[in-house]
Amino acid sequence: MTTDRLNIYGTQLDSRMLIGSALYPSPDVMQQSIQACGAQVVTLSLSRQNPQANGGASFWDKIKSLGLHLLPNTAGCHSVSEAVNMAKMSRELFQTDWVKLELVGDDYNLQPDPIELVKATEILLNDGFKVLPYCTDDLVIARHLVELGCEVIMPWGSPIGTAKGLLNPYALQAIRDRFPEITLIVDSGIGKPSHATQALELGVDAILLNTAVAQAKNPVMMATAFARAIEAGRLAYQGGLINERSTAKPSTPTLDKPFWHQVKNG
Amino acid sequence: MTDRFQILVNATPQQVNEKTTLAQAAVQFGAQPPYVLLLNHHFIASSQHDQITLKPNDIIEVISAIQGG
Repeated sequence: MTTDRLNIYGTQLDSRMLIGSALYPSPDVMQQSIQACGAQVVTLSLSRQNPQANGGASFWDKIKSLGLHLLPNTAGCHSVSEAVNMAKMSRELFQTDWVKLELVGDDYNLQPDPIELVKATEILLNDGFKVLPYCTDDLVIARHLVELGCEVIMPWGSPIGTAKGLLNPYALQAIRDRFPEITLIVDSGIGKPSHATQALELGVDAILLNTAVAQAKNPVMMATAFARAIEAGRLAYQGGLINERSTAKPSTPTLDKPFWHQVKNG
Repeated sequence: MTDRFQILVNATPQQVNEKTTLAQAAVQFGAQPPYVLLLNHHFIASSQHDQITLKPNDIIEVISAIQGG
């Protein structure tokens, strides 16, 4: 039996789908969707507590009951100090040294700030965190992150919540080819299961998504669709895709067809 | 007579007694575990909540889990 598992800083996972916990129509649908896709990692975040709203206990109880690996994010942080603070809070609250490091560089498209991201990554790695940086698909930024010691990098497919899929497959392919040993996860911009399949086909190791499932008409069904699409993409990658050609090549042998000469002469 | 002063907890003004600790202020606010605390924009580990005495105009943030992508 072959073992094909996703490696996140030494933790081996069977599922190649990581899923967010936001934007679902209800906590129950969130729970059912996460279970339907078989994800073993769920992302979550931090916010000011409102005691009048029971401190978010309902959400937290549902997440805990799933028994999954928690991946806290630093969403909304615009500076290194904010992100480092948030990572430290998450480590204490969620009892994990994993952090999805997000550092917003532009509010219009929520594009990560590559320079501040690298600075924050270095600080957090030195403090013992296992950093999963959300970055653009820039090969050189990826190199800096890898050289700092990141074992996982998470480039965008397209900006968060846009559902545009892979805007630059060439750039993702370049990162894959340049860093074959790094766990490569496409995070953000995935809108359709076929986008996920495309990413896995080109060698991406996993997908992190949220909106495409949570905002679907039927999130539970869509979660299942994504799980199957990701599995299909992985199998296709392992199966070895054929090369594209610019001209047709018959799949059916034409030699000795009864009308072969007629076609040739006609 | 005990002196009282104002602090901010999650942007809400609160009056606390002199020598109130960070841990006591969180309880007075009604914070529900699990939570973590920021004091004047710096994360304070839970092991230190009992050891820090507040000053006038301190800013406390009570932080807990929410949904995230």
